[in-house]
Amino acid sequence: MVAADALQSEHRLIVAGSGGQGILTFCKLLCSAAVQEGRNVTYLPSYGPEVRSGTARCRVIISPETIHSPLVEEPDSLIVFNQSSYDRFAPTLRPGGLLLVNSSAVEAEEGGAAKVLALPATDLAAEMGSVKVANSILLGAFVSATGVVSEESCLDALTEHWGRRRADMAELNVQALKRGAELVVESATAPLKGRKSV
Amino acid sequence: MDPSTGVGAKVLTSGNEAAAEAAIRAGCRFYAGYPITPQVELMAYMATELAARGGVFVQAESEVAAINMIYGASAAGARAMTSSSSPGISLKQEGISYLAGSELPAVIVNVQRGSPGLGNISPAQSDYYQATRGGGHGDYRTITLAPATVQEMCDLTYLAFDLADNYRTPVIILSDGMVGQMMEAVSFDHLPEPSPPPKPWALTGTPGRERNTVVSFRLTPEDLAELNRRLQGRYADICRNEVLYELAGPEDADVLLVAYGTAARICRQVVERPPQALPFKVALLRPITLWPFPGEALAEMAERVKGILVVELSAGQMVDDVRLAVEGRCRVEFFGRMGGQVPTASETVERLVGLFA
Repeated sequence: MVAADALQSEHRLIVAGSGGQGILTFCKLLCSAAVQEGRNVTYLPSYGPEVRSGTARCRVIISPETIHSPLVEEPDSLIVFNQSSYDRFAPTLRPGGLLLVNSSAVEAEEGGAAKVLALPATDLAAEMGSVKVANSILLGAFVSATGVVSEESCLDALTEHWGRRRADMAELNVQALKRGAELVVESATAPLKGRKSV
Repeated sequence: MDPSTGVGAKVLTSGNEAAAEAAIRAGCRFYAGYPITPQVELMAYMATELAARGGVFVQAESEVAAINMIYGASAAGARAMTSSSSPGISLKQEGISYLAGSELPAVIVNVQRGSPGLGNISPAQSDYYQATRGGGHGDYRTITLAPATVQEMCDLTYLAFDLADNYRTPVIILSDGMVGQMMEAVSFDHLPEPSPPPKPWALTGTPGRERNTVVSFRLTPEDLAELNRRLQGRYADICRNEVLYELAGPEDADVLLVAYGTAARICRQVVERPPQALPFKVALLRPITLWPFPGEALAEMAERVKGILVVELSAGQMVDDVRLAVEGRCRVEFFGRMGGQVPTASETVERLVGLFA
């Protein structure tokens, strides 16, 4: 599934949700993995003054080239954690781009030009023991679906990040990332469990 | 970032943290500040790192207190730094004037936010006048450096300490909420060991020498005029020696973009990989020092192009310096966004085409 040309081309994404859902951590880990693989990145966060429940968004560009503008006008991928982010950013997605939604919180519309992957990430995370790892499930799914970075570099970044901050959360996040990746592989042959729309 | 993993490789770091790390590597041993978004990561980094690496970190009771602590540390000979964002920098202006008047080196980082007043926490470039005209009272200037990347937040902060010491002047890093909070891959290993010049004027105790005084007041007009003449002589040296800018794009461009910091990144995109095809050739002149301003280079470019478009995250401030440098040699237009908005490359192309096609 990982295409060799994924490493040669630029990938621009928007990740959006509400504060506390792990939007910025998702992007930080993705960027750390890309830097580890020798790519250029820009990570441009934007959030409200609230600690939780405000808007949280991050624009990320991963490229083999020097990145000038870090703004993302027409993302190649859009990862949305809640409904308002879906409503706001879905129309900006590049035709043929990837729309990855947390279907526990998002009703995505049928049809459209995007490739839609819907995972009930919050519910799956709760089943695994903590809703906090929903972002790692979606990160695993994103990496598996696009091959923008390897799952191994992502796991390295994740282990390093959580090992330093909350060692007790490291293993659960690793499992969550792997679970997200597996679900994407499975979805290539069978409908995803709990998927609300495709 | 984690400094323990920062050896030999590029690390993913925010602009604010890169400035803090570069300051420590430049030998900064005193930091005082008061929290404000979007620069707070710089202060947080100093809180954990500076004390651990032999320096002093103080979370001051206010911005005014912080800048005056910088005055004290600098007077004692230490490399000293403070940082804030627009409203906080306004509060520091009296202290910056005192630093200039007392011929004290200091590095002040302004991670600009939307203004005026409390504004918002989004990126802006509306403190250009304040940074490049001195900001506080009196006939003084501050060297003003404008980073456009996270790597430059590192490199220009390091440079700022040398410039501050060499010219005994406060230096402003004029960043913004985008460059400050954005993360990119950064290298620190090329920074040399700091080698600050001797500071025979510093208040280090008086064994074996006459006492030093560090003051900005002079009792007689003649003495004060003499201080001012010395400052102005130093500013002339700075203008001669320290201008920095970058040119990008074709030499035979029809239109020249002039922008710094975040706006320059958008313009560089337009020059290198425009989102829509342009019917003419475009180049970019990016001032890295806003003061001293690269006016001579700009005047030379103005002879060769049809027109200039100045792009800023403001109502138009640097455009005044561009017009002063160009002196009517070509048409000078302005494109800006205010309130914390950042124009996209597409919008910039649209404006270019609308004005010059």
